[in-house]
Amino acid sequence: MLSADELKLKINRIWGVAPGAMLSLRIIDFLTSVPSEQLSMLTFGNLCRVVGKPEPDKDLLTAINILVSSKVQVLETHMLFIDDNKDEHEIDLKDLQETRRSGVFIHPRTGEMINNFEAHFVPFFVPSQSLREGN
Amino acid sequence: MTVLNTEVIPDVAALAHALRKRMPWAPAQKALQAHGLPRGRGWDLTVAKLVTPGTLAPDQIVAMQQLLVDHELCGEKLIRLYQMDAELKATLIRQLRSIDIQPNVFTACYPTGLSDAEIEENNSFPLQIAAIVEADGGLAVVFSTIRGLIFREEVDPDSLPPAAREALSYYDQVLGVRQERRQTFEVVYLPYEGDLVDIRVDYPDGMLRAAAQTAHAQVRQAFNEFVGCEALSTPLNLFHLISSMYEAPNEGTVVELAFGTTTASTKYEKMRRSLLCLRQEVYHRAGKQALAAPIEPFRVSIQWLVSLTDDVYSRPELSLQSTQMARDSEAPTLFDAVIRNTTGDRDYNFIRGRLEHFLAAITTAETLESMDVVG
Amino acid sequence: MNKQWTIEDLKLAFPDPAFQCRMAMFLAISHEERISAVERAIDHVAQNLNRTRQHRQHKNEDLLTTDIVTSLKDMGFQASHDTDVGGHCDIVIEGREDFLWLGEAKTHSSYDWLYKGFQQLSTRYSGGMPGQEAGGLIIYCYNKKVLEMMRDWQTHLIERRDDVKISSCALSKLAFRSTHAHDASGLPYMIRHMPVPLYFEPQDKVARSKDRAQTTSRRVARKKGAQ
Repeated sequence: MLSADELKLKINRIWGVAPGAMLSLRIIDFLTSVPSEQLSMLTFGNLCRVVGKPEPDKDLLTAINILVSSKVQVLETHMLFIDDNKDEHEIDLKDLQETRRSGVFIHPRTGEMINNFEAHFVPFFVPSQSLREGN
Repeated sequence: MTVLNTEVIPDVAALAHALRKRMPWAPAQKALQAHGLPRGRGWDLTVAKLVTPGTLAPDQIVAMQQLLVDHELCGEKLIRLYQMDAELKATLIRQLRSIDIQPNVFTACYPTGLSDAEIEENNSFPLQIAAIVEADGGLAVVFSTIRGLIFREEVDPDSLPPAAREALSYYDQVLGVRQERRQTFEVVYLPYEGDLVDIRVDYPDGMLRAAAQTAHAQVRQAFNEFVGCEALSTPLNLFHLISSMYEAPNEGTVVELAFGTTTASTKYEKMRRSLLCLRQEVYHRAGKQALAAPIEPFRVSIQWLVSLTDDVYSRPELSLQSTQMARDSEAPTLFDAVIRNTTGDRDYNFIRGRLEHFLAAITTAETLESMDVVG
Repeated sequence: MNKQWTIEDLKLAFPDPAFQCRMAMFLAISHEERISAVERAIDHVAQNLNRTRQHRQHKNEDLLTTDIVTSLKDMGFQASHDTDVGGHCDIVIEGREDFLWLGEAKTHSSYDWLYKGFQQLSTRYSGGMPGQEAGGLIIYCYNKKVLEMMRDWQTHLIERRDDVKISSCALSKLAFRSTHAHDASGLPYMIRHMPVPLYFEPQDKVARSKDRAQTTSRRVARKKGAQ
């Protein structure tokens, strides 16, 4: 696993000083300054606070894309399902994949089809295994 | 005693419908998978698959029936535990094994149960014995009745007509009370080994606890009348298990906890992610460390990972739910334990075993304490 | 700021396709989903190129491809141009878990030229390894009737390679997909053939010039008549 500085250099090399890349550096600073056991659930709200924005925008989404989907790979995406009773269920990644493939989400408790599941899916992020091991 | 007739192939549609009515989807999936039964996405597709002619071989249909029996014995229950003298228990087991159950409307349709139409047509069904079955190391006396279960559910205002939505817009939350008539299965389980007897009543999500507690009292009375003696009297007090199970560091995953502090606050904590334990959660640990006096839990929910087969696991959950008031009283009591997300006897008995273990530890500690006092 | 951002909230707040492309990529949890996210992003960028085609009439392949790569990077994709992957591949998109998507860009001049691009992609640059089973042939078209061109290209490809299976592309009526067993790995390798229409021959200025010419000649004729 690369150190925080090496990760930041890599990002700088690939994306330069674009606003999204700069935000990703701030997020890396945050992730490496906090013990990973305190980073079990990072919502969009949390990340907005880390980068000092009132709400997500294209630069934050770019930063998240860099940190999640590129080879930098310091964050992983997970999903929470919040049902009409406000009960929360973390969704297994296999179920999530199947949901995306079929367009159908099944409530883990009732077994009923949830039609507008995107209104109930809350993405959140956790440090990747490699970052956790490095930390 | 009831012996299921495996020569007559049960009605698959009725079995599937019965399973769907009582089993939450997550454990149902696991149970179907563990038994090698086909599944689809959600109940609709799963039932459709199961009832399609030719899908299930006869032995699979029998397996499905057993799955239903197991869930009626072990799934979504509020339980109480009773101590019973070994000799009395052995005597009762002998008697119960040789009894011919009086045929009634429930024995005729066990384990599938009455259809919705039959439930609707008839007004009253007193609590009666539906079956007496061998159940993994013990004997289960299965009572059944039709209960008007009251469910309290949140109502989504967006699902209401505009006028109703407008009228209720002042409220932050709208709750609805719904009554539903359902056939319930209440079980008195007498194990061959050990001295603990369970009463387990159906406790589906949303059901009022008071209704389940009433059911307990009715079943206890019915059982005692049936066997002709006060076999079950006072349930065991489970209150002290709340602390002892919470404090055991490797005892499952604590997913919910409520406790009072000596700094005069009440805390409710819940883990939002599966497989993460509140015991290790940083905020929880830091809060505890800041206090000189220990926290006083009065509510705990613990999950375990239980292997059903080599590659199928269930996540059953035990909840011990008391109140701050009970905790503050001189002799707090809690008689109920809620067991959810079990697939059948394997994971139910796992939790039961944990309860027994901690009860035994408390009894030993109390015995040692009294010896110290005497000494 | 205590709002729980659901996926629906994000889509409603940010309906812009570029936002959706970013989201599709970081929400992807399989290589299949990543491929789909990359294709959507490339389509979005191609649309932008098409919208501004008047400024791209004299650009060569490399400059056009650089534009694509720059736009992808702006969205947070790890995209590069001319990176050495078995040779200098036009577009390389790398991702987590050894994800790799390769793109070869060609300006349509002849079908043999496009076929060269196909061969470069499938035999030189790609290794066909797991996670690296998809790529794209991006075809810059300065000619009219792109759909017809793509159909002809499809026919040409099938004639040259009878091992290639063709399927339609749900994302775009102009695009199509080809799949064949990769020579190196033996695994199916899918290439999306995606045109970028850049034809630009506006007729309004020609008409105006004609009108102007006619008006001038009438004026001249009237003057002559007056004289």
